[in-house]
Amino acid sequence: MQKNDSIRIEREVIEMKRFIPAVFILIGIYWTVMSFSYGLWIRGGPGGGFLPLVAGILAIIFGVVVTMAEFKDKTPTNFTFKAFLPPLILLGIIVVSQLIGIIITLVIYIFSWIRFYEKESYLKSGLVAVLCPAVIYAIFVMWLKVPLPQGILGLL
Amino acid sequence: MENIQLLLQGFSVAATIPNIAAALAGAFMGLIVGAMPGIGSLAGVALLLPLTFKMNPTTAIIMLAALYYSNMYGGSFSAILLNIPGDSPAIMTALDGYPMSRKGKAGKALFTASISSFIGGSIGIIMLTFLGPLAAKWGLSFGPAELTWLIILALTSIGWIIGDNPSKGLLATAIGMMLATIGLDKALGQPRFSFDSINLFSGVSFIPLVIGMFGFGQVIDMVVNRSEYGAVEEKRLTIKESILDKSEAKRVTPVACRSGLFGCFIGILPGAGATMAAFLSYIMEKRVGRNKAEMGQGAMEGVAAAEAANNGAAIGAFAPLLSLGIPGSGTAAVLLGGLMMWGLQPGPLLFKNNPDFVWGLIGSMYIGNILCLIVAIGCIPILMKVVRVPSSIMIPIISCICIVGTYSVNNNMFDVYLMIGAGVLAYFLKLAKISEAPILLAFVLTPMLEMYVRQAFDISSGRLNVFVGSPISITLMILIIVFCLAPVLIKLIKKPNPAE
Amino acid sequence: MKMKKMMSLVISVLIGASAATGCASKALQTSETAVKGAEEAKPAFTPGKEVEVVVPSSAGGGSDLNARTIADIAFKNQYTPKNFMVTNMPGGSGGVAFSYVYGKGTNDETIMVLHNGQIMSTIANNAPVTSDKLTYLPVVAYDNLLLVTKKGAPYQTVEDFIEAAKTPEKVKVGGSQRGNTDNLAFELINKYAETKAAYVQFNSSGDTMTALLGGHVDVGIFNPSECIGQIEAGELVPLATFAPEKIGGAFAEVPTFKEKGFDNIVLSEVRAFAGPPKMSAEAIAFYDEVLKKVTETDEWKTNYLEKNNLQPVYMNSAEAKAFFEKEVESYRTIFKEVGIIQ
Repeated sequence: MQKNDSIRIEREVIEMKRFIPAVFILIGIYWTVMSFSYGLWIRGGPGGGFLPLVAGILAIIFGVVVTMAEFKDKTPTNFTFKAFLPPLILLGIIVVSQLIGIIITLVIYIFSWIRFYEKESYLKSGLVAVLCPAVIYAIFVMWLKVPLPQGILGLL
Repeated sequence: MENIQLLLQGFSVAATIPNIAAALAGAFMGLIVGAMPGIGSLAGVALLLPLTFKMNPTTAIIMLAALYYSNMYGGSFSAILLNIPGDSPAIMTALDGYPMSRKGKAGKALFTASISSFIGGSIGIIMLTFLGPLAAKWGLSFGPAELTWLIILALTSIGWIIGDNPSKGLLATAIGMMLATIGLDKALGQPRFSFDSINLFSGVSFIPLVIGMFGFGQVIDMVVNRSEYGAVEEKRLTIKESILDKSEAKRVTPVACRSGLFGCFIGILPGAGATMAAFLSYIMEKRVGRNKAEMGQGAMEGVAAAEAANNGAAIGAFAPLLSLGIPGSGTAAVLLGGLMMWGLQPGPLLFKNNPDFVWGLIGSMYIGNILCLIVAIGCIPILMKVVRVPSSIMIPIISCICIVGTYSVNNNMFDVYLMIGAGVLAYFLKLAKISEAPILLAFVLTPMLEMYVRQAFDISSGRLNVFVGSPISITLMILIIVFCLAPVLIKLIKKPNPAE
Repeated sequence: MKMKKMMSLVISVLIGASAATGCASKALQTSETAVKGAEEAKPAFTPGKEVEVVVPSSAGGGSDLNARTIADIAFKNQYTPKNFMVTNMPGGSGGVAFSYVYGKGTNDETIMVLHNGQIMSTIANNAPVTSDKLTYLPVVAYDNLLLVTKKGAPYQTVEDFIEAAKTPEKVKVGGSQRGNTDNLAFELINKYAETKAAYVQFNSSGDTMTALLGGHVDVGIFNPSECIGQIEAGELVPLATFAPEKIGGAFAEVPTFKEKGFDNIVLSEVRAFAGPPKMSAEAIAFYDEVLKKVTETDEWKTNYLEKNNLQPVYMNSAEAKAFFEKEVESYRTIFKEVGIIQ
């Protein structure tokens, strides 16, 4: 399991650190192209497209420079799909919170994470899972009156 | 001097029990609100405002003002301890404060932040006392053209806080600029890069971006690089260990003093706020300070520069507010509304017609500033315990704070999606070793630049001479040239020497 | 064992209490309904939960203050059984809030502060939801606009200003935001007084004020509350007002554009409310009632209107609807003429 992972990751590795600046080259090109449609010089001054053009060109130039520099550099980067775990979990939290309300979702999340991922004791998990959302509730909902999503069931 | 007499009068107003209690209450609330990422002093003040209508106006504004400037104290807490800036001025504090925390020096970082906030605030208050209305008037002479130069000065300086790799830094700046150009343009008001989403109409909100890149990015990093987040060794948790020793105090104090003065002047300027003040001051410190090498990796001077400047600016913003009736920021605008509700007319006549109110407020700032310092330092032992919390527990807690804090800004779930995206972006940037700070700074400065350039050209009907039309413009232009060319010149001068 | 007994006791007390309160409020409602029934023969509406008052701008602005004041007065005087909770939803120059309320469909417990400036900007920006897609609720106040210059400026009367502005690009007029009331006011001058002044746009009236005081623009467009401090101190001179009639108080001497012969240069800012597109007729009637009562209180008149230099007015939702439909038509026409929209 370990060896296969590292080989697969190594292959990603060679690509990642050049891939990222290269992506910005593409974005820069998009920005540059779109900037013309926003008008470059209007009423004697820069139009909406002026700064996007500057930004886009800068992105292209330095995107190229950095990508090329990275080709020379042989040190590997450590990309791992693990990095997508937190974002996916948070997206899940948002979706679930629309149903049962955010505070309850957070309680479930905290408890599950600490107990199952971090493998701490039930006591610890439970304690944090209750305390943290409680404090959040007190400050954000009771005091600052932020209308946090209450879900279809209208719960916390 | 007349002002001193008025000030003494103000002290007698400020030193009454209800007013001191109000200042204390404001200070506490500001600290908490400031430490919470997302919601800032704006919401805190706006929510309290209706409750204060029953109160005596002087007491009310003492409390609200205390909330406002103690917010600057609190912002540094989460920045230093969690690498989540509590509000935008605290970003610069996080740059050096968090590394200090990681190195086991959280106590010192917090103490430096508090003391620098105090010094910066004090300088601001003294300035307000003696020069208030004058300084505000001076601030008026900064029109769009002058402000353009100021922003350009700031932009050119971004390059220098980037670190060793200028091309990566410039790529980061370009990324920040591109992000900033999403939204309505100032010339025609047309939506740009909004991909037909009403939420991107007015652009990407700043706070979700910051919370995402710093806070949530932190979480992703913790999950991926677990081994780097072993328990931080904090040898002793007493206040004694956090107090700066003589040599450290010697390093920090001059930095705080000049940053505070600098921040105060920036706060007076229209359109520039605490964030700009913290940023410019940090950059200045990095360029001319003694400890430039360490800055960015845990130098006290960085924390001092940023914190002194943002408190100085917060107080400085009261000068145009009180003497001209012009609010320099959203929170100040709420205070302005409050003043009017109490029947006071901010403007040139306020000092004349309501001296008790104005000087009572200024007097209470002296007291409030000291109270804030005491409370902040008192919190340090508790805060330091936060650093000891293992990352296994921090990860879910920070995630929750990121979600709720981001949502609280605009009550819009879209911002939370943005925040998550920003965190993912931060992860990729870290892989490619592109630093985040230039992105954020370019993001803040670009819209301002666009607005001021547009206004300048509208005023001059398209002629360029508006940019060299005033002594301020010319001074700033010269400063830019000096800042940019200086290192090059220094290198040229130094080169021939070793050869000899 | 004891715990369990305690718990069940507490729970039953709670249930009993809420049932009792429920019964009581229902009794109250039935009697109210009986009274109303005598009037309208329709079941009256009362909000079942907190009413969400959406403000399409950030805390501290005029709309926000408006909403909070109304919420405060309504609740204190018991005009509504359930609190009005203010929620800020800035973004998209009003577009986000408009879309949010539109999405509430048949919801009767959501209303929104409606300012005609935002009606304008949603039109000018081609936002997906414009005000005609929402339910119009009462108009509660007017705010006026003034054309102001600095003391010592070359033109101290509105005639001088118009004369000077006929030279292209000579006079700079500052206003806040684009496609908003300041912008429209400016366009009206250019169109009907045949001037060729230039418009410089700022982010807020505070910025505009700064530029005016600093001499970077020649005139500015403001609400009375935004410039009264400077005017009373003598730093600024009001040239004219866009109101249909003279504004009283400190501005009693300020001529209206109308009386100077420009019948078409008339513009006021309007503060009103709006609700989701399919709000029930009973709910509309309810909000009509509540807002009417609020605008009749002394607290509203002295603490809010007077202090903010606003003009009193009340239009119920039907009148508001007719009013706005006409207004929106005129905005669209002018915007098309000056090229703000296609």
